[in-house]
Amino acid sequence: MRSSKVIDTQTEHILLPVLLMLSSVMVIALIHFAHEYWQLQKPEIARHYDFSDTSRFERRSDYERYLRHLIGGILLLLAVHLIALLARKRWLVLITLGLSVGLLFWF
Amino acid sequence: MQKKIWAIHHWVGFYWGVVIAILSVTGALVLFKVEIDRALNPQLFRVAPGKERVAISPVVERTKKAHPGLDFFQLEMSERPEDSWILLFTNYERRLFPIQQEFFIDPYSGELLGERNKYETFAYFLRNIHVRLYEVFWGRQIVGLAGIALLISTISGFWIYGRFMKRQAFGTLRGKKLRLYMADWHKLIGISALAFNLVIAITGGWLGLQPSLQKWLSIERPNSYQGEDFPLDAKADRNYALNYDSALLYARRYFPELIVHSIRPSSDGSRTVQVTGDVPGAIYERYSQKVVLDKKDYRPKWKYDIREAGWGSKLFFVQEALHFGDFGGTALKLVYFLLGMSSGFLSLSGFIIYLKRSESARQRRAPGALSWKPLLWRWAISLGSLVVLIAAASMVWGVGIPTVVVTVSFYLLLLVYILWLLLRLVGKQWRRLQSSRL
Repeated sequence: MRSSKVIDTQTEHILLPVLLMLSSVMVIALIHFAHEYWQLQKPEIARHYDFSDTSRFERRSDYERYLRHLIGGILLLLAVHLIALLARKRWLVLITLGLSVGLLFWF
Repeated sequence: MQKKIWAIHHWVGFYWGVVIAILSVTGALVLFKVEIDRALNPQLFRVAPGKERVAISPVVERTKKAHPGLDFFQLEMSERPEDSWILLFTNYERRLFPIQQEFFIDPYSGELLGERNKYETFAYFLRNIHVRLYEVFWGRQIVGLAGIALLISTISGFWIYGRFMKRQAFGTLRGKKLRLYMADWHKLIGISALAFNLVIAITGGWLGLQPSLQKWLSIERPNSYQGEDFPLDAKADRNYALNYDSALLYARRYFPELIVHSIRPSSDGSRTVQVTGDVPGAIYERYSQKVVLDKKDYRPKWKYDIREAGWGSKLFFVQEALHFGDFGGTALKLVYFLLGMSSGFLSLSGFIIYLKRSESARQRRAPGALSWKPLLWRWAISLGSLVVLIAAASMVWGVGIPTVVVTVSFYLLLLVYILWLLLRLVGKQWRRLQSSRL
């Protein structure tokens, strides 16, 4: 008898690949935002950013905080992805899929 | 339905697998085109940062005067203090040996560091083999079709996998037989790189077919400036004494966020100068932002800022950046490199599965036929030698000679193959006719 909490081969054939697909998108997004944060620390590049009252971020520190939150969020999500992949719990996989799609739409 | 999808996956892989494999390996390498070029030629690209940069105009004028047979195209510069300037001159009169001559300048002394024909560089070889396969007429379109083939292959592969994996847990590797072992790796890698391969296939298909699609659908490049008035004739425009330093100063004033890459004077009589570059934090094709100034008074005539453009333009310019992973530095390129090699591995493993499966039938038809291993080695060595030969010819003679060789060989082989197919068909019909008479 199989437990309903542990995903079986019938459902994992679609759930796990989707999770894996989202993970690769997350890794790419993570590197992009980390690179963006790093570029911001270079004076010759940083002077080209527009931090004025007309732009989305009025101060450089606001933008840095936003990037840090994004990077942290993605890292957290990737950790949950990994646990879900290893544990193969259906509810965990579904939660992490929902969170990933939510985050993807957010940025 | 399942059988049909499997047949599509099989035949697309069979006919396009080799092209996809070549594009996968060259694509993974071309990601680092700039880095490789810099590593091979540090004396041209790197300078010791000084206190102040020299004026641009005297350097351009001096180089123009020293090379009257070349047309000045643009100045390329970088925000990084340790980078040299590049003055790019062209001459396309000798069509078999075209020239894009690069003069490398130390921005702090104005001294010439060296020069070379861009068409004879390893970096150009990498780019051209990946983008055009050195085929002059339809090379880019063939690459675009390979993108479509990869897309069909990825989607059909996912469909087959979905049905198959209902019986087998994800990530299982059955190690008993080589064919099964390869098939399991094929599935595991294919699924792990699914999202990436979809992106590469769609963007690659678009980028390859872009010139034809733009022509057929009348799509203008969103950032191309169309001059309305032409106050000068072409020669006077080319010889106009432009102050490049002032042009740069004004461009920075009108477009402060622009990270300048190049300054390109007009030569069509429009009396303009284009200053192009990037805006920070954007995932778009490199150097697609620009400001166009009047050469006479540096009045802005046009500005293209992708952030203010519509969705269509953004979609147009996001393709190349997504395809080449050019939005996250070297770390992202490394991820792209690994994932990019996956389509090469899929082609290879798919080919091994095919060779292994058809081995007994092959040997039944022709006793003593080669087994899969030597056959694969012969394929790999032949293809590898061909690519090395093209690289060597390209670096010795430039783009012309290898392009002629590849184009002529390609169409000759195609002709021979079609003739062989026709002869086989005629022979078959003839034999059928004979047997029915008897």
